[in-house]
Amino acid sequence: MPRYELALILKAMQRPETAAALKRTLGALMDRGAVVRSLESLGERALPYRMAAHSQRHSRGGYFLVDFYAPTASVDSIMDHLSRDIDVIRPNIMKHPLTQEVKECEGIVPVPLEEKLYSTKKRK
Amino acid sequence: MASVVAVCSGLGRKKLTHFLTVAVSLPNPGTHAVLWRRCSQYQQVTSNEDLLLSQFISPFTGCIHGRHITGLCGKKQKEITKAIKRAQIMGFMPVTYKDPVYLKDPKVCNIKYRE
Repeated sequence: MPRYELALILKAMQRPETAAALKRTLGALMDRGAVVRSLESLGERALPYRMAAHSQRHSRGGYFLVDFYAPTASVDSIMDHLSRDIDVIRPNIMKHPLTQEVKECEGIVPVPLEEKLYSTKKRK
Repeated sequence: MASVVAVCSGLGRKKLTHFLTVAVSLPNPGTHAVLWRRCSQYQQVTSNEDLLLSQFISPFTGCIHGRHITGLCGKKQKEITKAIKRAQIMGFMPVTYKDPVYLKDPKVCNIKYRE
């Protein structure tokens, strides 16, 4: 199963309510056959811009990162479920960045410009 | 006029590892001074790290700097642009301005603002 990362922005709430929302979210993930690997909290902070979700405007939110393994077919249904949850401001699932292979980049290759000065096309 | 800008990692911020060393060197005296560095320093560009990505946007308008300013190669420029757009949409980075926390960052791009 490929590895995904869920960048979750929850409404700014009190601690027990945030815990309940997270429990609900992770339960929904596991119901759809996902295996949760870890949950990180990036803290509650001011959002970079005011976001509207479920007919409310928010300016503060709690940021959470969940990385999990899930079957590819269930990603759609997870996103559907999260978009319907009123405590979630913005859910985003993407492929886990650590699974992308890192290609060595040589930088800008200097091109010999003298060869490009005259065209090498055969003229009659 | 070659100088090496080394950033010490003793700053009290999260994600210290993404401050990079930039080498400024003049290739030959006839050419225009170019900020040259290996773009292979940016190994893995993810959309969570707004510290790294904020170095490539303008502090006034939030525009992403072009290739002639950042000096990156084609692939890395594309990756950085995509990561910036993704971070902005996901709610990790502001769009129209640069986060004031990151205004004192070392200059990675070859742009000079009027004081």
